[in-house]
Amino acid sequence: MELCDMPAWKLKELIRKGDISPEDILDSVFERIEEVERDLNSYITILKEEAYNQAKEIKARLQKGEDLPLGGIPIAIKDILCTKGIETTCASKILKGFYPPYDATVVERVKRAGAIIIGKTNLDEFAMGSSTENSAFGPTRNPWDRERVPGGSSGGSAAAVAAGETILALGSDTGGSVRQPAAFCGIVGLKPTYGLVSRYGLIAYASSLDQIGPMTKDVRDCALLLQVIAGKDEKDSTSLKVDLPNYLEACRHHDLSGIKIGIPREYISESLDPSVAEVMENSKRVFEKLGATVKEISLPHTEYALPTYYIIAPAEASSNLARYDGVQYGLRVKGKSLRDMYLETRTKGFGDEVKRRIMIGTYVLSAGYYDAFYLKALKVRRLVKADFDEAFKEVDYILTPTSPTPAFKLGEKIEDPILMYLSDVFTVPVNLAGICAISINGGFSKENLPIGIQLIGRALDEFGLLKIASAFETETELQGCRPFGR
Amino acid sequence: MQAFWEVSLLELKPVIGLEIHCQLLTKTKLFCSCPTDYVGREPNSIVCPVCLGLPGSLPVLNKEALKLALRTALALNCEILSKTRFHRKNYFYPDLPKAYQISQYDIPLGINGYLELNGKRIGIRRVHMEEDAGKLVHPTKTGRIEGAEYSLVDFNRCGVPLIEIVTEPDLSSPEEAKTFVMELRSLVQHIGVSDGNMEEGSLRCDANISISVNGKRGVKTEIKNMNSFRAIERALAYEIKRQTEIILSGGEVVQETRHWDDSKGITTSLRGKEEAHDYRYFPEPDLLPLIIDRELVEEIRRTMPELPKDRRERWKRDYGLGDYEVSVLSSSKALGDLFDACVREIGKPKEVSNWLQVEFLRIADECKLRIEESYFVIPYLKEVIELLEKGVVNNQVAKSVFEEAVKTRREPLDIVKAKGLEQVSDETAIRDIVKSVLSENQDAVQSYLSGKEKAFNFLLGQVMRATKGKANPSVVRKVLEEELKSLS
Amino acid sequence: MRVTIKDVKHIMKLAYLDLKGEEEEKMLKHFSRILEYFAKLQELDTANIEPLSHVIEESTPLREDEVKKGLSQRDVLSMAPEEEGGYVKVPKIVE
Ligand SMILES: [Mg+2]
Ligand SMILES: [Zn+2]
Repeated sequence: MELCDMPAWKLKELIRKGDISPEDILDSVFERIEEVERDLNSYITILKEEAYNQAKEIKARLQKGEDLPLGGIPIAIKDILCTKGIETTCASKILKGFYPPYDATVVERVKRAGAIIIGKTNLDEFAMGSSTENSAFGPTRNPWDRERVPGGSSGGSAAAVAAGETILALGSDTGGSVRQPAAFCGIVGLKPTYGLVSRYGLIAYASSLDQIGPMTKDVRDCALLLQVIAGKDEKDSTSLKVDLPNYLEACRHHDLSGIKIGIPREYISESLDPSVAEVMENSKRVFEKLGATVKEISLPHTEYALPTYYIIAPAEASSNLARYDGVQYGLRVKGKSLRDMYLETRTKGFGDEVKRRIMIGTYVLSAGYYDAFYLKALKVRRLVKADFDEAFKEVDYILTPTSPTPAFKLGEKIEDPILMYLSDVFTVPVNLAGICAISINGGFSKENLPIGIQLIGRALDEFGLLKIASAFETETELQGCRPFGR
Repeated sequence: MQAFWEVSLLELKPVIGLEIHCQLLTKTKLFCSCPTDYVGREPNSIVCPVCLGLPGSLPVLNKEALKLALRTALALNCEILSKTRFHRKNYFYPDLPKAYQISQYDIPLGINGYLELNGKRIGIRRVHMEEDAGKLVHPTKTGRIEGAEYSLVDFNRCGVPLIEIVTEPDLSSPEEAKTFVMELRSLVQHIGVSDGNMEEGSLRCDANISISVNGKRGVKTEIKNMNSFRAIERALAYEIKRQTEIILSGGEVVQETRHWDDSKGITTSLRGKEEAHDYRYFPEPDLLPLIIDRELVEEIRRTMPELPKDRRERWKRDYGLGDYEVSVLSSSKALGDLFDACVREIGKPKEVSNWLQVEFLRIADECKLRIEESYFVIPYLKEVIELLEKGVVNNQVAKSVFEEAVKTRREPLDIVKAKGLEQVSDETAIRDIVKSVLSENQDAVQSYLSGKEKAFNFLLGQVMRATKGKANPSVVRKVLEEELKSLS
Repeated sequence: MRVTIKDVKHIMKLAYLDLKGEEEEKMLKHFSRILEYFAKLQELDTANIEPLSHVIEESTPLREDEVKKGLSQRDVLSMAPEEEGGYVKVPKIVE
């Protein structure tokens, strides 16, 4: 197996033993990028030279005996996170040429932990999409099948991790944008509890739902990266004060006896792709084998979650994206008057899906419609959250498919927004409730496409999620499969 | 259309409500750690990702701003809500970097308060916190936006903490509105929450005004751009006249926002009801709701500085000052502070009050002296009052010595000595002068003796002049009376 | 609730977007479809439900009133598409 296909924790060991250097990992990763990036288009910006410079610096820090949890490990950053002096585009024309004068808190933290930032990954423009087709820089392709999408919106990060174009990656998840692409690409993706990871420097899509999450080759790496990025940040008012557990400890226990897992009956409808249904059946058996009890539960408001999400998220987005007007930074399309400049810049700068969501969001907040749509959605949001609260009185974790289908073909859903939105039907409720969930590979379809399963936990029970995910991973050995693994 | 005689029977009454924004005296902005002292700064030099609204930046509330806002709400007798929150007010303008203002909407910090104005309670509907916008510069001769080929943006003021105070429509005349704003300014100055400077824009006032007809509320207009107390009074008077004329001619007032043009002395339409903004308010997701700590509220209540009305009462009660004196002393917080400092040092509140109101204010005005920087006068005043009391100088001399002391910053006693201004109380010396004055003014003496009392004062004045004002006036009076009597 | 082209135009005005012809038609089509989808929520009786705007139930944190270093004028101007004399320049505001 090449270095670029190995998980970070293994590479760390190799570095520690002196078997390899951070440069060796970079060599391997950039070689893979050279090989596949032209087809996959995982990256918007690749920082090769900077990466080697960072590697030198990290080596020196390691030699001084500094304890660097991510020392020398390459990481790819979704291009929605601000990186000081590095162009940050959100895959939008409107932010072309925006070089943030500051680092996002998570970027600061991974840098401090010794990770090497090797590039900024592709996404659906402003994280609005489920396929990474809505990018001003062209779509990203799924490394398992290049005719298919990698999922979205963190499709670039997912594809890069799966293809060995990076070791670790950061994504952001507003309605499933970490978990769904992780599922489509056969990697691990975690959506932390709202408030566990600082959003400072994460370019907002829907502020009350956005969370940054690790996207990794296995569960252990997920724990490793979460440890670095989680925890209170004074710069984010919605960041929680919590005593962080040692997440890596979660990857040591494999006995799940006494643990109760629920499968919501609303998630197992007939419209589920047969291969996904089969993976669910298998997964259930695996968990039972590991000692857990699995039972059916109900989340009665499931079907209302998606329309609720598609009111709340665009509403916040319409406000969050109003600042892109050509005045201060990024694209300015000149106009005879201020009004012309606003209109031209925004109309030319935003892509179709972004415009659609801005329009929807503006509409649901506008005079006369606020109560019927936005306020209604906030009320239903409470019902969706209450469903989970009820369920967690009965079970410790909830097992669902991550998405109703495996990766779909490029162009297959792009013309029908509702069809595309349905791809997030199982992930969205978690964001509405502000709780945590992880997607791991649960098996493969007949076409050899990875199929993700989602485990949902109580607020701030990331430790528990990692524990049962790790047990599942150890038992099935599915997570080791790589599209280019040799 | 009403007939003339019906119109003439109408009872028309102005109904005025005010919306006042005050800049809070914090070191840093409402949601970031940039300084707030933007006056005189290089443009765009006190900014950060947060107040520039850069993508990814997030707000964190300033504790001091909250305290000052609470203090204001309490001073205005408001009910403090136990849980409040912030909203986003969405609109596009180049001085608003996020394209929304973080403000408070459905649940403000304080509600249902009042401020007493000459015994009348003016209702305070709400008090809330919000952030300020940046500043636009229009490179035209007038500095106005009309005719500008382009505009320039300075983001320094973005995010500066403001408190917005909204009154009930309880004000009934332009004068009352003006007095209210003056009283409110005095209040915010006294409790240290704002410097209330209208010229520099740290206190801004908009008004809602309508004319009620026979007690029935009329259509209101909103008046903006009133930048001084005088402007408030003039703009509202103009608007009352304008609306009254419309009503009396049978027309209908249009609901709109109007702009006060101070140089032309008129209001003009800015935007109508249809063009009114749709601000699409919604709860700010980047801040959590604000649960008000009761202990903090109690602490702020306990440590509330003296309010202007309490200060005025104290002056009347403890110092026996009259209404007029009190109103002059409380015309600005600075003067009141100086008065209190003088009394602490000198005692004798009545005398001090007199000296400050008459002599000091005149000199300060003449010399463009800032009251805040006038504490050096206290020892001079103390000495002058002592000299006067000891009879070293007379009243007239005391005044001129005080003036000279303030202007030249010399000790009053030095001035008196150097110029030989000590009062002459020696009867013999004064009698000589009186005699010579009487002999030189026979006409006046005759007219006094024939019953014209006024001539006495003339003669008194002549004696004082002859002594260069140094004679003790009561001795002069006594001797003069005696000498005149001896002549009759 | 039916959406008309007039609604779409009104929203475009509020959102500062300017779609024309085919684009506008397409927006109307998608808009209608999405709003129809939202109608599902009307099935639920939410009369007594508190709206949920924030999932975290704590009070917003407070920051000490201490000045910290921000960005320089250079930082601001280097991002700006147009500048003049330390200011960010924008086209004329009144048409
Ligand atoms: Mg306001
Ligand atoms: Zn700032």
